[in-house]
Amino acid sequence: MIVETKAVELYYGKKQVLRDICFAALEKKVTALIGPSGCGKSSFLRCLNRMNDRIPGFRMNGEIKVNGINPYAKGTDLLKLRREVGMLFQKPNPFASTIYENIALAPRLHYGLKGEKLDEVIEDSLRKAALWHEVKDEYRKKSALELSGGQQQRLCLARMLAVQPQILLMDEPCSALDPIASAKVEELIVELARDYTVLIVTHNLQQAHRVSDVTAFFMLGELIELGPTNPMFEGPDQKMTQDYLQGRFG
Amino acid sequence: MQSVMISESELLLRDRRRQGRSNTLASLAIGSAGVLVLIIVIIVGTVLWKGIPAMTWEFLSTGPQEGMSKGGIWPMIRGSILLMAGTLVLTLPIGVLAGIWLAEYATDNRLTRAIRASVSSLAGTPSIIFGLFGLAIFVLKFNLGTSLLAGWLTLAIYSIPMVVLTTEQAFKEVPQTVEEGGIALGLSKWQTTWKVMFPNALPGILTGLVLTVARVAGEAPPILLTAAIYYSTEKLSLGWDSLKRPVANLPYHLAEGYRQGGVIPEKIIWGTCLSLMLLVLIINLAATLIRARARAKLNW
Repeated sequence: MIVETKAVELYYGKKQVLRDICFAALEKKVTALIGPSGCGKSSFLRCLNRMNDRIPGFRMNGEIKVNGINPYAKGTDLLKLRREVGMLFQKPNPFASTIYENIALAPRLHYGLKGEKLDEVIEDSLRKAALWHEVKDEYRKKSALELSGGQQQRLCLARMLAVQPQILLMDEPCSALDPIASAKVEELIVELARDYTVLIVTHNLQQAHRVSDVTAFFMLGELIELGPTNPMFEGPDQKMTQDYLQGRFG
Repeated sequence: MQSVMISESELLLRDRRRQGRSNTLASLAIGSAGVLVLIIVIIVGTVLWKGIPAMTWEFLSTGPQEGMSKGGIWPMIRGSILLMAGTLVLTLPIGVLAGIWLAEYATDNRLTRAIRASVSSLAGTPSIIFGLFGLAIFVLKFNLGTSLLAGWLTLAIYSIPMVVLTTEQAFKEVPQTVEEGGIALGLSKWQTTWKVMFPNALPGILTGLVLTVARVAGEAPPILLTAAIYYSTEKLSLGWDSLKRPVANLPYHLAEGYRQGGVIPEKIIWGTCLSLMLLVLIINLAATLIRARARAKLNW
């Protein structure tokens, strides 16, 4: 299992956000994390590359293994963890520089890439993110902030891929995008699953159904059900999952 | 409308009263803005009206002659520019780095709270206090004498707190999502701060620097006891020994020139006034341009 957790409990101050999460994700598959707002799915995702650290009162118990690394062990190399585990956020977050510089920053700092080698990585990443054809004439000069929302999100995807990660965490990557832009990103996710392990948090059940191989249903801080997507959407084991999938609450 | 226990006529009356109150407040707001504009027009108008007759290229580019009854104010302009430039060089690195530390590195504990409180109170301390401090420490204790160097140091400690606060604010205003983007790529804290957040914070930092420098240009008290002389007729000869010599400058020249009533013709005093105003205006314009360029790159 490329991602595995045992008995994970998470607190923000006195509030318990996750209880006893035992979860696993398969390599080179898409796992969708679904559940109503506030169920803890995003908090869980952000444990895997330790993006929760700065929230006041954050505490975590339990065991996590991500690509063989325990993110919360003493002395864990967080920079290495985050090189291997990329993250795409809810709202596109391009940096205030050119498209080229957005992508070049991390490979340059991590691997000392420059010149042609760096150019190659950037073109390759833009191609993988299906952005190359839209920006190939101007990506060295154009500011990333001038791109449309959907393009910005694909740029963030390219930026993440340029670091050569193995696991991609996506925290509702389409929620700020219009349906067309969202469909493009969705297509990409399916394609990326050939080479990467993808964990995606989504509010959109159809999206979860379309893109994922495995689905994890979270509710009130607990992992209610985890299993192959199609069987779960056709007939979940748990009553609660069924109610959620049929839109009885959410 | 059965649930609303109020008659139609009473409802209309209430509406009219609410609308009336809204109109009153709007006129008060417009009136206040009007008063403000009027004050500005009177000040700028007076200075322009009385100062323009003195404004010639010769006035700006030559030194005083015949006991200041004739000639120009170039040495004072030069002194003001020198004071500002040196202060900027000293203030920029210290103020910006300290601001970054407060915004990004300082953990919330008693020490950093104390530091933040000290910086805020220093930023609000009257400038004459810095003048006296500069006199006691730089001029007398360090034996720098009344000099350009003592003036720089005094003005620097006067401006650093303001730059620290505006830099801290500029960094706090960078969207958290942008910062997280840097961290999630595996960049170190410093790389995220410097390579990712700094470009976003730059317009805010520049605003703070410029406001501070413009203030430095106009402040007489900090340099009154540390660097200033009433006037100078010196030709421009910058060298290491300039650091140890006092400098003439616009605000002090104005204050003293007026106080010693009658020595300097009124026309020249108003001309000096206008020059100081223009100097501050130029700095502000330059900054607005730089900022606009930095911000143009940031249009979300």
